[in-house]
Amino acid sequence: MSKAALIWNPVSPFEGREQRGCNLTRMSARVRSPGEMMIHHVHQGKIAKEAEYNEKNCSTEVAAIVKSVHAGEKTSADTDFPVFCISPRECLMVSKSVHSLQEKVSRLNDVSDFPYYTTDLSDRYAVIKLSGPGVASALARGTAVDLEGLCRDVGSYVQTRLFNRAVIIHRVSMVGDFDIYVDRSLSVQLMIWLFDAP
Amino acid sequence: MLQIHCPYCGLRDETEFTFGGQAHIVRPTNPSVVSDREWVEYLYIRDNPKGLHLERWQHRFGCRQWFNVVRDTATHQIHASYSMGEPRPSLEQFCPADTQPLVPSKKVDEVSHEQA
Amino acid sequence: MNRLNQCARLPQGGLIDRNQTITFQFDGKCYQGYKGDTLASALLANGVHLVGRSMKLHRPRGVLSAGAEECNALMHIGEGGRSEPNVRATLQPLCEGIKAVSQNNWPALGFDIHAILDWTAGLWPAGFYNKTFIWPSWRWYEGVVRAVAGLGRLPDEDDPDHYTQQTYHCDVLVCGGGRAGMQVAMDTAQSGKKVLLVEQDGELGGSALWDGSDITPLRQAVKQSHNIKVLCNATAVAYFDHHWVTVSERLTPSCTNDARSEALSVRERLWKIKANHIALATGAIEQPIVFPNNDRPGIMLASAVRQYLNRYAVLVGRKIALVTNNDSIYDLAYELRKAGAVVLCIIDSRTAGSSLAAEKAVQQGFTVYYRALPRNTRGRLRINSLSVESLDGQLIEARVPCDALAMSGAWQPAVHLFSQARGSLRYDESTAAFVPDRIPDNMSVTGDALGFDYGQLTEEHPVFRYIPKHQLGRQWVDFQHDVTLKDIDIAVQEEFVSIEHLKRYTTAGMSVDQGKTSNINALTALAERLQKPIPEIGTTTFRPFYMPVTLGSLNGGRKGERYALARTSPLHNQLEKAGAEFWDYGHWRRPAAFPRAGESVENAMQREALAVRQSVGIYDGSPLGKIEVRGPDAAEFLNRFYINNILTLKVGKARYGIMLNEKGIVIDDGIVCCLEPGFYLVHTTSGNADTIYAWMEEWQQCEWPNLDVVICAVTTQWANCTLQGPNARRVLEKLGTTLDLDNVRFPHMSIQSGFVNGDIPVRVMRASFTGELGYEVNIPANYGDALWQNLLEVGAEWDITPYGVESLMILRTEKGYLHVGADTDGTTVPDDIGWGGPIKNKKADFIGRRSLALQDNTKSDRFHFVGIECPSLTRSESVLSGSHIIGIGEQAPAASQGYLTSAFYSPNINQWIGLGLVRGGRERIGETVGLFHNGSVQPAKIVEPPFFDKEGGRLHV
Repeated sequence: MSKAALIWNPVSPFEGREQRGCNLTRMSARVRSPGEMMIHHVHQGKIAKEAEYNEKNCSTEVAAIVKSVHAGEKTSADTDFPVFCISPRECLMVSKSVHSLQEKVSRLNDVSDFPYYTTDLSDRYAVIKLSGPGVASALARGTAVDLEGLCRDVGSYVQTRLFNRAVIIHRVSMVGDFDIYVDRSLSVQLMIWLFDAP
Repeated sequence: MLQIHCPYCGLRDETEFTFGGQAHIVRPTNPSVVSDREWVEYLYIRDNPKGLHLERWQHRFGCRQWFNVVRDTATHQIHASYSMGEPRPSLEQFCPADTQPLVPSKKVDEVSHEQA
Repeated sequence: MNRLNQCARLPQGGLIDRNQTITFQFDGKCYQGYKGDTLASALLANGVHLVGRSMKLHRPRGVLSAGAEECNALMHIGEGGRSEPNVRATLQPLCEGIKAVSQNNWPALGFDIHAILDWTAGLWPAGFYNKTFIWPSWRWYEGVVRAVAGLGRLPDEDDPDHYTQQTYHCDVLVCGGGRAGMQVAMDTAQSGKKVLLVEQDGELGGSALWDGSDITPLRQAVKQSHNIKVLCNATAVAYFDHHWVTVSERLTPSCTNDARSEALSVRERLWKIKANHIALATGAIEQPIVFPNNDRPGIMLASAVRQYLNRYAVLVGRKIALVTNNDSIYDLAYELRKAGAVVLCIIDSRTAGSSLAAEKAVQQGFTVYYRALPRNTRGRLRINSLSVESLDGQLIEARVPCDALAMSGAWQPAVHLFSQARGSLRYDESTAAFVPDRIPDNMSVTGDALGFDYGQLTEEHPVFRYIPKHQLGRQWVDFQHDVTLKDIDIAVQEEFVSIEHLKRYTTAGMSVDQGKTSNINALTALAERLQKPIPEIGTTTFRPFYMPVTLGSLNGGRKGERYALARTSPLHNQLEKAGAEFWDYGHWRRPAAFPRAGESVENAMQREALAVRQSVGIYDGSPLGKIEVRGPDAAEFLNRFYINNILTLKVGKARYGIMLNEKGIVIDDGIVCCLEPGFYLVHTTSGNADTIYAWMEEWQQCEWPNLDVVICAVTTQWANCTLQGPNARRVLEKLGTTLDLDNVRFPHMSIQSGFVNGDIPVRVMRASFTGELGYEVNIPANYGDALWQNLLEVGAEWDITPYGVESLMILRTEKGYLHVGADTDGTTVPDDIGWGGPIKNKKADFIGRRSLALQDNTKSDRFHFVGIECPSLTRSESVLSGSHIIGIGEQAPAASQGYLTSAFYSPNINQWIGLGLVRGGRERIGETVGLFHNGSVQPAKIVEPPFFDKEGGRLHV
């Protein structure tokens, strides 16, 4: 008996409904497809003592990441592949491929006194790209955060509560486009809130 | 809604946080040797001040960090936030806020309506 | 169709648009008005004064005011799902085709049978319901009372309209768009700050819209300013901590059903505003005067008469009497005369010589009676005369025919929001009003809200509020709830002398208008009766909301599919295709079962439970909680959570563990696996996925920061297809993975990582909640869809059957497997569920361990987790979980000895089986007991679980 080849295609939670638009709220959405990017959770292990990381042998990119995690910066200039510092010792790295990221992180481990642990969370998040002049106002229906204040510059981001779910909101353009990073299991209903709720 | 200062994320709305009760509750290091009474006090006995209260909050919808807050339970004024693990601050520095009257009172009559 | 031709509308003047005529209905009759009218002004323009009946006594009532303080003109507007009761006609903008109906009368407004309550008013004083309708039984009266009581009728269809909420941040929030508010907004905006100006009316201007002052330049400037956002038809209704203010904005007037409303239009918006500074310019509210029969249609507040005259060009009467205790009414006298009305007299309760305005009026030819009050009024459906007496009871005029009466009882600043913000008030004797005293930080108060400006003052107080002592007729304090001075006397007599008690006992101030025109008179009367100064009486506590707010706007958009948080599995589309019947489990939408065409869920459950044990079933286990715990101290960390020993868990192995809270109560169970040294994968029950992750974070951050461990929640990163059944391994082999599935090398309770299709990672755990050979196949969630499809395809050879949560419940009950939260409650400790023994083998402390030694947790007659079976019952009979366990011969009422926590008809054993918590259950194995449910008792036997495959051999095939 010949075995028919099985098909293994990744699908996002929206499968076929990745685009939405709404004239009333002047906003449209596109969901980033699986394979468009990878998302890794990077968690710094416990620091035995307050040691400085050794800049000598690690790439500037990695050093920049470590620095921003320590400083608690809330801006990531690369809007397609950002790095989000989500807690004093954790960041989410959005990258093009896993190999470059893993290499970066293993070099971090080589040169520092404390280990970094990575977890692939590419499937855990849905990334909804919202564009249009009505985005900020539509988001204000569901969050208490002042986006104009906390998320003013391109590249700035906030972790907050949006329509009752935890999200990261990332400003990606001067004209009010935002990317929303949300748990995939909560993303379908979030889209309903964004586009179907008054 | 209370505005709470998260040491990592800054000033945020109460809806992003979870309340964690009284701060600085110390778990007995060796529970097997403490008396029933000591253990039950650790489990259940809490302060209930009308005034300054040291309490824990977690920034659940943000950085997920636990931290401590000095809040006045009568006025809801939040005086300070400090990271988990920092020692408790001295409370004398937080006296109740005084409001400046815009209109100078003509009489000494105090209205005795009940406080909420 | 009667059409009164706006007999009371003046030919000129007003801010209405005479080019746009609007037709509307009130109580079935058609009328006309103009754009810019309110429903009240249009009715008054048509000479309609009788607009409603009071709530308790059904007294005929007319429009009292021109604003939110209206307490008489409450109408039912609209039809069907869009209708709204208790709409204040003074706030309702007139729109084409609006249908208004008066409330609280039958058969007609002009002839209401319930008026008998007014004739027998002596039977219904304040608090009467505490003393009546008691004997022989309240039930005798309940039907009639419920039919008669209350005000307004609820809509009986669903509301098709939409409501929404919006957050807004600004530097300054200005509450009130009158003269003072607009000025504050302009001054602030000019310094570059972001200002939000909210105004209750449809137009900016406040009292300037009818007191003759010109604010057009100011209004223009406000509208054109880039820094000022203006919201009209928006009322600031509540102040919350730290300067959060809620504003209720009314968008579409509640009109008749029309096609336009069918679109996704929003009827009301609740703004949640965070401001750095709040400027209150909320103005002041004019108060009525208390005198006998001061509630007749045609008796109105003087400022309302003025507003109807100047803003709406409506003359409320041709022969008007004016009653006052302050100067503000005198401007109205001149304006009425100029409009062609006869001002019969001005009855001023102050002494002669105390008011310049009064003297000037005398010089201008008005009749002014000093130190006087109306003795009585007449005219049931509209005032037609009044009599006047001096304050010490001397008759001045026996009968003055009139058709309207304007009264000004002085102005009370609207300090509601101010007080909600914990601003303190001070009673100002000279203006007889409570005014702001100490203002909270970052707040300011301007305009009439700070204290009404009575203009040129004399030596005397500008206001003299007099509360009459004798009673010729009833003297109304609260119009809507029919509270009189006599009711206040009764309250005092019965010692309800605190202002808060007075309010609740008499219900003064508890109506739709929330006491805006009654609180001051009530507490002044109370102070006078008790001979105490007013500051000692004080006001009742001001609380949200300032004005009624619809539940719809408080709910926002949480309707229909947005009603509750809904989480969907990565396999959702595939489950739908397979015919799943979705139920809510926690926040997850999960298949209860997969009924085929024409099959009931119950039958599907039976079929699926059979199919799993006979061949193989497939289940979506994606919502199962998954947490990665890593680090040198990971094992030690986990060891402190579980009652089991985690330190001995080897790489590649899985162990069932139970977690407690500090009180020793079982909170979760799950399987913990060791993937690599220092790398553990914790599973939790689906309902606890987020809770246990948060629990672990809390302990790690707060109690054990010195442990070198990191925690990451991966529940939704991995999709899970669970294969269970004797053919499970064959299906997995046919799928094609890099895993070694040999029975000895990959035994029950172990875990392996590998790949499928070359490079797609999978984690496969051999574990079972059904008691069959089984594998939980975890794959990154984006591939979950493909995995399910492919497993169905390769498993078709063995009739692979999708099964749902309810079917799983049958299978796990057959095996006696615990389900935390169903078989345990808030008192269950490990020994109750048979896990007391394993704890003895563990020396280390864990969360909750110390509590297990407390007295209550070690007593002898605790509930034990046992099996319960009903072999004599047939499939078509039913046993319900939740049934209580009593002795077999007992009848209810009897003490409960425990309860059934799950019950199913088992297709694999062909009898009714269940699990339960029974007092001392482990010592009672074999005993017959009764199951009590809804009046009937079924016999049952306590047994030791499991019911099927007692040795558990099927797990190891």
